[in-house]
Amino acid sequence: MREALKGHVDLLLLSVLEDGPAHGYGLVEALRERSEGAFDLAEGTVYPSLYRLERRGFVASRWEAVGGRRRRVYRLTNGGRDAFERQRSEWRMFARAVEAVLA
Amino acid sequence: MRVDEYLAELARRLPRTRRRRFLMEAEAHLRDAASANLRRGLDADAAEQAAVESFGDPAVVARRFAAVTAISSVRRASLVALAAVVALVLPLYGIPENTLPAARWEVKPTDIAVLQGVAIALWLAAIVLAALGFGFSLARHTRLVAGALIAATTAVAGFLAVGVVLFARWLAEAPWTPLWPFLGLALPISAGCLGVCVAASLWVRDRSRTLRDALEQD
Repeated sequence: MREALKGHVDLLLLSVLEDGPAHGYGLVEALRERSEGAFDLAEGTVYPSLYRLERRGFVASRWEAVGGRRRRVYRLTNGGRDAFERQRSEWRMFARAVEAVLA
Repeated sequence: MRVDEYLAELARRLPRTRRRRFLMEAEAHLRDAASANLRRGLDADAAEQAAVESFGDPAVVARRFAAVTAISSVRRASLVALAAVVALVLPLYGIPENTLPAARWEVKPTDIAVLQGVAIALWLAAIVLAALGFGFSLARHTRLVAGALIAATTAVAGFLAVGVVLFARWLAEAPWTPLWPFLGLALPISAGCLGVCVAASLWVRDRSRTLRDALEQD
């Protein structure tokens, strides 16, 4: 599953952030929960993906004190929201086509 | 492995760019994960061990991280090299012909004029190559950036060598020319620019290797 996940982590992270701001650990937990445990990725590799998204202007981040510990909290930008909508519809078209072939 | 040991191992492998920020985020993440594992009933050692294992092999995490930061550091390095090459206009333009009335020629010796032409040509070549390098960095072709910056560095080295010969000839023809514009300005500025270009080329070559390794191994 980890191999199959590569290339889709950005879309999944944007999707989780669409629900609201989150820090890295919260994102990993949300991904695990929403995939019912299927997306169990090497957690540390989420950060390089977040940095890449931040550089592209899709997410913004800042330090916040949450539960007595300083955490970097990420939120979706307007550009990130557009990118997410675009990537999501591309993914749905792709998934429908794969399903159609496999059926 | 405990959280502290893992962070030390990660710190050893990470590139400098953004290392502090990532280590702080990693620590908060690992402490959160360990706390959650404690709540699930693991003992303190096992809770930290499980948190560290879920975070991933430090070598893999560091490689992915290096690949992400490599592109921005290549871009910065090529911009610094371009700025340094542009700064060569100072020794080229100002010294000593235009700043020192005593050094103005009635009839300039041909070989000095030729050497000046060669220096200008090398300077322009260095600017074009460094600008190409920056352009390649925007297009994320890091290996081409390394090639362009090495070529620009060679042009700057040529500029410096021609400059030294030029000044020696100049002094022979016009011994009244004061030494300070050359020794105090032109030589240090050119040598500094060469140093910056060498450092930027080596840095970019190293970063482009990091990127290649990350792409090949992941």
